[in-house]
Amino acid sequence: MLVSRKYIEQYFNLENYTNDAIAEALTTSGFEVEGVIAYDFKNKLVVGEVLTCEKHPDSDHLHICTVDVAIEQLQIVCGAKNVAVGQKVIVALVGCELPQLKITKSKVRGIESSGMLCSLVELGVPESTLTDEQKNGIEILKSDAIIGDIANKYIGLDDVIFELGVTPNRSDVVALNNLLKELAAIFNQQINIEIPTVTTNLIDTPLKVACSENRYISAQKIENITIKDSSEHIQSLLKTYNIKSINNIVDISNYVALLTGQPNHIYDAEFVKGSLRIVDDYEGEFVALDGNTYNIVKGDLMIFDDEKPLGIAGIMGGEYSKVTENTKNVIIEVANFERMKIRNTSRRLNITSESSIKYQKNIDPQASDYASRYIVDLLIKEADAKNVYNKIESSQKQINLTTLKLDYQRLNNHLGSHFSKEEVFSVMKRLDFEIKNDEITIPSYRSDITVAEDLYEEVIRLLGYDHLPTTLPTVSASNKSLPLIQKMQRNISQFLNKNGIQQAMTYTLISDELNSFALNVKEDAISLASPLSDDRKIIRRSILPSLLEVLAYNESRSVENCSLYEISDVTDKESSENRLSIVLSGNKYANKWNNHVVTNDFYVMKSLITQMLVQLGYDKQRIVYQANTNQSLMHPYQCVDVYIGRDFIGTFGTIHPTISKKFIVSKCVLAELNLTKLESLKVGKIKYTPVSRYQSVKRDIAILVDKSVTYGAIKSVIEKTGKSLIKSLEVFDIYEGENIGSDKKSMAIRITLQSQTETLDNHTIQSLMENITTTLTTQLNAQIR
Amino acid sequence: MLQKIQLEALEKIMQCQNNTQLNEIKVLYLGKKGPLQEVMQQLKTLSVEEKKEVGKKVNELKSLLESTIETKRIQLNEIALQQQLENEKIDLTLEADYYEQGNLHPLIKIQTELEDIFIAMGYDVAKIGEVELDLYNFERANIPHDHPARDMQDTFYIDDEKLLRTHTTAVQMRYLEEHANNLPIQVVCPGKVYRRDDDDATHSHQFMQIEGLVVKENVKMSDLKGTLLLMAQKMFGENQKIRFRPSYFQFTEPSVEVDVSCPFCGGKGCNVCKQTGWIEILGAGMVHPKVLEMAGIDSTKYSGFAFGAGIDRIAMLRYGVEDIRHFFTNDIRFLKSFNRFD
Repeated sequence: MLVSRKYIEQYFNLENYTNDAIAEALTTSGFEVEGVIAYDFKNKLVVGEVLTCEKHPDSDHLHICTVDVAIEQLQIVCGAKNVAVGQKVIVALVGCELPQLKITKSKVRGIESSGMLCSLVELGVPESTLTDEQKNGIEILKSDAIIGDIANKYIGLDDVIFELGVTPNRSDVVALNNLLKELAAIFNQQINIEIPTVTTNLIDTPLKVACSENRYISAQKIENITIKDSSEHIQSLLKTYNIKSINNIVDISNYVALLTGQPNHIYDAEFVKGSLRIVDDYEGEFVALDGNTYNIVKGDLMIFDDEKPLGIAGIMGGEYSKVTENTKNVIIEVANFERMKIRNTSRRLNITSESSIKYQKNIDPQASDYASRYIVDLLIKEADAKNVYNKIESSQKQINLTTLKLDYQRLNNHLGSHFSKEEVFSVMKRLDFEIKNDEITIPSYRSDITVAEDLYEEVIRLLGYDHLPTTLPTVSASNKSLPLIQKMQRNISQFLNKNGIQQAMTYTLISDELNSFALNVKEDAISLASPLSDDRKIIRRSILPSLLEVLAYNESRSVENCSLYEISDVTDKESSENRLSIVLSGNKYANKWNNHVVTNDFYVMKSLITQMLVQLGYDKQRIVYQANTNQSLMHPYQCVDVYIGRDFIGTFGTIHPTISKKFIVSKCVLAELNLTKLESLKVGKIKYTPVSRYQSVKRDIAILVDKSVTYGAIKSVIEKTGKSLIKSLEVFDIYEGENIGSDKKSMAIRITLQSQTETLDNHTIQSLMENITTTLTTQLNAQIR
Repeated sequence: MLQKIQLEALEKIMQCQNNTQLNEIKVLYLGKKGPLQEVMQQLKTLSVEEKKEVGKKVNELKSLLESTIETKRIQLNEIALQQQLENEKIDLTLEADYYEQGNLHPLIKIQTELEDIFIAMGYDVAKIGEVELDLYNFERANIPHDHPARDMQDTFYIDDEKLLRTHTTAVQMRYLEEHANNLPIQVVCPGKVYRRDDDDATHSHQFMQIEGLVVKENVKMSDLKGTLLLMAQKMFGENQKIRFRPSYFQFTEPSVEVDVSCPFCGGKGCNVCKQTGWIEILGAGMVHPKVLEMAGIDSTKYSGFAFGAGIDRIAMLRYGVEDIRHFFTNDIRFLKSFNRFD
């Protein structure tokens, strides 16, 4: 909402207010000043007279002018076609800062130029408010303009415009009359706004109107109008709001809409046949005022006469029935509609008009009456209208005013403030609200005030929030802390960060294609009813595909060794769960000059997942990895499902070559775990067992087995045989080669033996080792080497 | 004779280069076939007096040689150690930052920090799903049916009832209902939210919020001011000031927007704060009585305050990030710039 300083100064004494002070007062009262347009050219924009004007020798469109600016005569090169000797023009002197450029002394095609002759466009005036002449040439001032004067006042730019942010509850202030009342409260000054009353004798109207009960329409006929320019006062206000002046009739319609917030339409009566109706079942084309043809569908509201559509209700009138220079008689239409309807049609047709914007705000129920009265009054005064007919309405509006009790003690309790009763009620007076005892009657344009708390807000905003003390709530002791799942998320993040893995955050909404790569899904994915684009239409069920995209993004920018994780909710048609996804690529670390390189592979991921689960409290014995050869994202022989006991937690493995080709990523390892499930499982507490005081013994064995025998099987045999004496196992060499047979492998394992209760003697060790080798031989057909 | 041996032996010990040579010298002079042993054997031919005197001298020489050898040995060991250390000299300037650590995503970093501030004040932390019912997202938050936010154009609807939540207020409304009979309530709700906006430098169809809600007897708006001042000071520095400006939200009355003194210029005015000295960081207000009533709470007995902040906005402000899309592009080089404890 724009507010002109000159306009409001007609009503208020603002002598003591600088522009900043006005902006501050508006902002702290709830109308945030989002911008100030001042057209302040710091005395560098003056009136000049063109004394000479000759063609530039090196150009077919430039002129060399001598311009008198009172204190000196300047040589200025001008490119405008309309420049001529004797004109009073706007001169931007050297040093003047225009919106697009700063004027400097320069040479234009070899000719010195000290300043610029300006068009209004160059001064930053919106083009929509200018005529083609004004847009295409320099501005020519009236001949009585005084040479050397600051130019602003000759072109109506001696004003300051404040751009107000208006919150949806206060859209009443889009009506200037309501804005003035609000300003009276803010500046604590009096204002008296009188709505004109029509005093001429009214003629019985031949018109009829019709619409459903939830809508309203009125029509009033006036004859013998004279089309001419509207008065200076109306034109200058329209200009402030960037509304182009057309003629007195159209200007009056727009002016009244500005004052009252009530859009209205004026038809040429000759083209309206019979009654005015609001219709919602029209289907077909319609040519609107802007000359465009629109496709109207059922549900759009239209204004009809007996024969044809006249306008798109609340949005734009029709070309056919518009007021022209030949118009003699007019019909004034004032109507109200459901704002949803106007919004939907305006969006679908992609038309935003002054009217459609206003109809989407709260309109004072009394505004339709005010608007009619203003229009008739102005048509008589400004268009010499003679015959005024009765207004015909579809219904009589019922105006029910709200009353609220204002208890200043309750107010203080609610706000924590210490205002006196007088202070509190003084605000009601400033707002011009009617007070009877402690009851406040709310005027109809303030439909935002419905409960006592709304009044509290009026009081505190107008007395100022700096009067609000700063206190803290009384603390209620609580046993609240972070929910378990979030604690787990934090622990996981810390663990993964420590391991050099970077946290990422990707979008929840993905494409159909990305959705097709989801891992471990149960139900169908949810699609949005109204997606913005195909890329963002499905709610994801798995994070991994998004992380693969991130990996591709980084690798395509030559970022190497990307390790990423993300923790996020995923959702399908039945439920949501929280998941952790990890992608490891390149090297975990690499110090190449000393061959200290660890490449991210299946085993790095296995180590990571195992360590993480153990740290989270799941004993190593409970963690089960089961080969999964059938996971389409993963390499069939480098992928396992993760279980805690019997509970499925997730999957990790090396990326399938076709998937890495598809996403254009390097060979990487992937994991995705269900944290919701994990969190539901019991975790082990830290249990302390004393470190054994007895010597541990290491024994190495080398065995030759079939390639198909896994380490897991070997480990299991050794552990079952050695029971609690086996402290740990470590594979320190694996060998495959021709000389041992192509179907065999050799594995060297170091066994650490230790007892909690005694030092192991040679005999015990010897017999245990023999026992182990025998079992390996019999159960796994191993050869001991 | 003895003097000659002494001179010769000391000379040789001095010339030793290593332990092996030193051992050889030791055997040579002090061994069974050494010159001193020879002298001792010749003693037989001497008188008792002479025996006594020469014997004493031989022993003195022996112990002199022994101690000299040991001294030399210590010296040689020291030299050898020095040599070894010398050999182990490395190029200290070689780069060694290959044990890299990861870090939190900047939005999670801010979220965590905010959560901790409120946990320390005794707040609960609630996280409830992102797919929400229209009921909790709009209806309970006092947002009327014909409000533009409820339009298909602004909200990602799934069907007539379900949608992707547009604000974490939805979580508050659920929490309010669940705890209506278990007051007081002190909770913060962080999480992702979604709006049907085209992505650009300042808009994202997905972003993060954190909202807080306190409901109990005698909660005042001044308590809200104190709470938010505390938060602002913990987030942006001890000398922070805050300012309330009247605003409008459907679920609070009165409603305010909250500015903090600009952390970039300290309130003097700069480009970031558009010369105002203030930066808007959150919206807040007293819970609207209708909202309490809809959740089944007696609004004449209990009152409450609520506040909500954009985590993305705070992160952008604090770190000077100019484009919200960076947070979701996940360029590793961008993510790594938040690798600090701050």
